[in-house]
Amino acid sequence: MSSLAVHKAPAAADATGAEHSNRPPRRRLSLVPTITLLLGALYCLLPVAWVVIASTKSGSELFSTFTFLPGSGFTDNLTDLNAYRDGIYWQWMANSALYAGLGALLSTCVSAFSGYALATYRFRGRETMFNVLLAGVLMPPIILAIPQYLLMAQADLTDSYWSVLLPQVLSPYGVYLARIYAAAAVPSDVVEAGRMDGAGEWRIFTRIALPMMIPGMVTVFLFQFVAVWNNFLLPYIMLSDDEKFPITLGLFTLLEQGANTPALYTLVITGAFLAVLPLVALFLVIQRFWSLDLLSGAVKS
Amino acid sequence: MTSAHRKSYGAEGAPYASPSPVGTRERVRSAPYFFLVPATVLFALFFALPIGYALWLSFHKVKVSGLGLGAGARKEVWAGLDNYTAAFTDSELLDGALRVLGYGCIVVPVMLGLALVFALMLDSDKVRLAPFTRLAIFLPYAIPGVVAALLWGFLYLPDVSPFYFVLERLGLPQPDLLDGGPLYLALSNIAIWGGTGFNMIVIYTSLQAIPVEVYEAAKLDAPPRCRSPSGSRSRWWRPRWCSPSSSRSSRRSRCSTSRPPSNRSPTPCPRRGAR
Repeated sequence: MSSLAVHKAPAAADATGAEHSNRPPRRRLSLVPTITLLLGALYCLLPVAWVVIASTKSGSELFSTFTFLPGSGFTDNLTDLNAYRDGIYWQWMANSALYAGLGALLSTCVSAFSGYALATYRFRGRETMFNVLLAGVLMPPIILAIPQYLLMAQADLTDSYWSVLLPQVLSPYGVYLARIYAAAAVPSDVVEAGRMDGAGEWRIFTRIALPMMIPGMVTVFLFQFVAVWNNFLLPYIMLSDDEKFPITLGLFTLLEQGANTPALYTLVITGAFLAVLPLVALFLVIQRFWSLDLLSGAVKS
Repeated sequence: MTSAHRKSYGAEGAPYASPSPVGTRERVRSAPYFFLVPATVLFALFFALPIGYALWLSFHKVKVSGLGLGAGARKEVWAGLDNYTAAFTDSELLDGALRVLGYGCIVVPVMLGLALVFALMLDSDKVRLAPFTRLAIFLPYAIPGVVAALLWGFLYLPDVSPFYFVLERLGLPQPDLLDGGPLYLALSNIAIWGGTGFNMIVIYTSLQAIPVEVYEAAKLDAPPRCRSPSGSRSRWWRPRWCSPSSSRSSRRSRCSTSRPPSNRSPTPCPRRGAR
């Protein structure tokens, strides 16, 4: 329907002079942004398309056939990946799911508590506390990771699941988002009404405020899930036992070995393809629930 | 706290009169601190303590006595500013800092510039395929940095890359992206690829938060018949591009309130219009 309108437009414009002067600017403005955005999309999708196609190639096809020509080795690659060290790849995948799932869940709870408290109560030290928590955003993770490692080593916690899980539970950005969302979504009248009815503060939070905050908390959860899933540095510093590696670190070690054994390249590529799938699927499914407005702090009631 | 209160609620059977105002106020005063306990403990353990520990370590050095064996052989002793002078005179570290600075000078402007351009274009309602392109440009955000580096790493390899294939067919020179100056571009490209989408969404949502009235006022403010008898409407669209930041739009909106949109007459415009 719309393409029909586009085709018809020049004819109509030629037919009448008045129409002619109206059409060109409108069409120019709709074409330039569309083309620019399509180029941007192409740029962003190209490497993804490459990995999809490359994962179907066998080791010999990878370097000999044209890049965007699908190969014939996808099932073989998959079998090889399954067989590699008794399927340790899937162990990495499960570890990543644990780190990201549990870590994001805990992080969302902590953010919800703090955000709710900072948004609905007026108390001494509120702004100071918020600013100190927020200052954590400014700390680059690498600067924190090394002293965190040294401290974990003193507590004998390095190379454990805790060493990767715990440092990522507090997310300053999550607290910030939760505060903004709670301020917009939980009216103070409702909280006050709960108090008048005799509900305790904890009860007000769990029964009244939390349900109102759910959409914002979904955003915080997803944000933190992606952050933990994609994290490389902290597990790289903390872990040495590759049974506990998350997928990012596992792929890295696989790639490192691939430098000596080119046969592993196809494994790495297939592994990378499979590692991207869960997040892409999550994004496509969750896209409509994710209130992206939050990211810029713009909340409409 | 809650259970004690509920008891009194049940005993008296008068829901609205039961809570003593003093008790409620006490609870309200202490509750936020309880809610903030987890965040505070985690902040202390995983932010404040490591920072403090790093600071403490930076003023100390390890002193090894004897062969360095046994429990008391390694001691941390006060080093003053020795570590700092060593760091600031280390040419490797300074060169590294400069390299990071150069890398940042490429990545930040290009990434934010692209994000702004894409966001402005998404915000224009005359664009086609907006949901698809928005999702596609945002997609790299979901891809781990390690995987992104791996993907682009392969795309930079002359044997595998489609770009080199095209360059070869066209008979153009093929730059070595993995060495020297082009390496910066190769690295920056990965960061830009990964970060543009997220920034685009942030800017886009801020643009969406601009009230529609601002745009409408800006549009109304350049009535076509007032400006040019031939009725060119191109000016109608132009304010969309400049209004988010311009003070002109607010001035114009003030002017246009006197004239409801349905009642636009071809009378001469009393003030300078949009140019």
